[in-house]
Amino acid sequence: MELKVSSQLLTARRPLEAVFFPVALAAFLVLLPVVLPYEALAAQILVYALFSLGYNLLFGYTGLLSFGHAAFFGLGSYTAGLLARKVTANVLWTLPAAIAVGAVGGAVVGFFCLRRRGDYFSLMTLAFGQLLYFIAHQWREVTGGDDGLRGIPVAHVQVGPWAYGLESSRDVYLLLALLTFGAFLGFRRLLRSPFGTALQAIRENELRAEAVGYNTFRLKLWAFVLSAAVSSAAGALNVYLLKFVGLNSLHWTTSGYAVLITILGGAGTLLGPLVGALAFVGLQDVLSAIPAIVDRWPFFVGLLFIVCVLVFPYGIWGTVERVQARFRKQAPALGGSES
Amino acid sequence: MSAQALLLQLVTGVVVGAIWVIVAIGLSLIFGILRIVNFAHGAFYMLGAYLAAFAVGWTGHFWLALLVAPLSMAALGVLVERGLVGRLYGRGLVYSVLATYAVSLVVIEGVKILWGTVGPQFRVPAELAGMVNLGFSFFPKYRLFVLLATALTVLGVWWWLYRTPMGLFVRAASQDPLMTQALGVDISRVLAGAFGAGVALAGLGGALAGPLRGVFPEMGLDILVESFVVVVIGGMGSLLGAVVAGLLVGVVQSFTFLWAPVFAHVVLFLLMIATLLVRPQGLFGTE
Amino acid sequence: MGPVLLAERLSRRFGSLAAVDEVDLALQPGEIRGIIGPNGAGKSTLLRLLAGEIRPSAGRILYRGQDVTGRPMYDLARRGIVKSFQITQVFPNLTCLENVRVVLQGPGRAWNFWQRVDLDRPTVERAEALLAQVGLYGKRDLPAHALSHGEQRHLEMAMALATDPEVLLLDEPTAGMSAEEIQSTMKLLQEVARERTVVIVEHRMPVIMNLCQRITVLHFGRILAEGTPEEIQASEEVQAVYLGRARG
Repeated sequence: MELKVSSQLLTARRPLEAVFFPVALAAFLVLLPVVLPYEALAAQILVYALFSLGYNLLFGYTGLLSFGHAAFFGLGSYTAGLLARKVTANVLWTLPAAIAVGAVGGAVVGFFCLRRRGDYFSLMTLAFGQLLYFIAHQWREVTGGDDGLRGIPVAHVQVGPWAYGLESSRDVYLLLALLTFGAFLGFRRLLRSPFGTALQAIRENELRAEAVGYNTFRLKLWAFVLSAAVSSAAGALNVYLLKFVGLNSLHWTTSGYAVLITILGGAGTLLGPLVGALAFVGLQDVLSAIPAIVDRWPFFVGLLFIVCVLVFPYGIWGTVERVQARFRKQAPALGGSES
Repeated sequence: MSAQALLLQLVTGVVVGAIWVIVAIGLSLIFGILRIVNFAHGAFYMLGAYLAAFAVGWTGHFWLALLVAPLSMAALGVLVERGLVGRLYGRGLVYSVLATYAVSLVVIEGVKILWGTVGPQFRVPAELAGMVNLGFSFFPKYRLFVLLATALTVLGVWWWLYRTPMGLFVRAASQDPLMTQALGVDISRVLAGAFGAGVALAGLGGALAGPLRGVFPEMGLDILVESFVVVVIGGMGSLLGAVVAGLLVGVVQSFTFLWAPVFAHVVLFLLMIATLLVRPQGLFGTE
Repeated sequence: MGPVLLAERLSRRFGSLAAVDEVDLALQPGEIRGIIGPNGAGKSTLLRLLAGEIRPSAGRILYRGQDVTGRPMYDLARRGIVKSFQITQVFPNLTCLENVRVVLQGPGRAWNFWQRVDLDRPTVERAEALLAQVGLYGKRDLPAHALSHGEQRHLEMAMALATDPEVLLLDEPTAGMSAEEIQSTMKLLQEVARERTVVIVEHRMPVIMNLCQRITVLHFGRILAEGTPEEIQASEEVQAVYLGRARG
């Protein structure tokens, strides 16, 4: 797998760094809605960041190019939306439910797709994604078909008698920021764990990983499940924000956005998804405000992507990390990096 | 269900399949020789339809349009290969998939920028309008023409691959690029030519499909995935596979529309998944 | 104790071609065995069969008396049979240290999602020790792709050793190396072989003749001859097949 990754590697850490990362991330999350013109934009960025975080685990860290991840995003969205309409809009139920459905979906899809490698694997993920899309398309009674799922009640967080409604985008952003913080810290830990490093070994050279005793199929399957679960969570959070589920969330073009954001930010880096989402959503917002462009912003994103693939294959954050690494080579004993 | 109705459904399916055959051959060609999965294939299909529609609009000659579409797509394809795709060969599958996907975005959105979200009119040319009596049923003349065009195209591609020196180089390059180069063949030309030929076929498919399905910017998105289905079932890099699988899938879908319309789209992907699980190289693939 | 690795009538066919044909091999514990033969003799295939990389068409493989025929590569690796590859297979974007450490941590711990690997000093120190053994301690923080070819081969050796194998299968360990690199590799191999059973497939006669205690000669997938280096060098059959390459 010749993916360009700048994976910052495990060298001796300075104690300051352990504190620096969470603080910097928290500061970023606090400042984001302040700096941006409106909260909904900040919330959308975090939704995409989480979607790509899940995707990056499979793609950037395990080396598996899935082209059907919209399936999990959509599964999470529809689960949260349907539960909210039929049973309860309590986030403490709908979010775990969405994650569970996504995880199961990931297990099933992964079980089949991982039987093949390379192009065949990718094509099978695409097939499953489209399968789900057309099933949702036909099953109008449940999903609303082309019209999507509407009339979704506002989500709320309820523990016993105490309830907090997520009415405004700011409320949703609060929830998103907390979850994003936790997710990124959790992933940072995961990627430096034996499991996380085993996945990276598989990305680098699956044959070699197997030759030293790793059951690569099982490891890849777990990566798939985790990746799907996180993407599903992002889908559910998207529903809290939009109060609507569109059929397009299951289309392969949505999968394409996950790939795009991940590569744009930097595959195989922890902060890549966040940076990529920021760039992507930010660009979309800025461009669509220009009267001559409005809805045609994907044109420029596509161009940017082409430039990226040709000139910055490591993505924005990936390139930053590489520059950092070259700088740090002066003092290898100190080493360390943010992600 | 009468025999006539079944026969009609069969022929309808074959016509649907015919378009898929042309587009899939192009995709398979590109995969077989350049080893890349061309995510821009649908976009070129769409461009071919657009150009053909415009050509008919300006000149009034459908036959000219059928020539213009694939030729201009071939030229564009060569440009794209030289400018972008060709620079990514050493880098592995991932980057060519991503690059072609980005090209697709740019092309589709670019078309929307230039000509808006509503596509041009593309009517069936007068000489091909109307019905033909097939004995068991009346059938649109144009659809029969599409069948004929497909048959000729398949023959043409076959002849090009197996009876011309260029085709020989193309086949040799797909089997052993190093050796072919050692024999003095300019491999970069062969690769550019193959990509150009592949997307020319996509453009031709679009031009033929235009009067049938209408011309609009997103018309290539579905065909892209559908041609993946065909290529996987037929076998990547196999001409025969693309033909057989295209027609087969067309007929299967046609009958599914008749008997279990709910599954009409789903059945395609079930077949694709089944193929990948049971026999990933497809019916005639050699991988 | 009987042979540590035993192959009985091992065969592997590709279509109608028998790459390995009814090979019997008995490895005693601690032995250093060389496998030689002209190109296409089936040496690499035999090694792949023994490592579980491919499955035999016929025959059995017994490891420490247990039948392990057909078991997948990762299973055999965990039991103690580890192979290195003809084409260097390392983890290119990971540092040398990480390359070895991720092997050392062991597949059993792959289900640990939370422990920080860089804080696991014992494992890190063992990885550093292994790197020192192959002479790569100074380059431990460099990504593997930055190493020269010979250095990568040594890294591979460190990784193979990290699995603490009982049987080490080496497929052309000196391939592509300069004379200097070959010398250091031979010293390394001698050290490594001290407490293990090693099987080496090689083309370079000096390496084989100097390192191995017993040599098996393959020809067209079958065993042509087996014996000590002296016996093999003296054998007329072997010389005939090798045409001038038999002299060290």
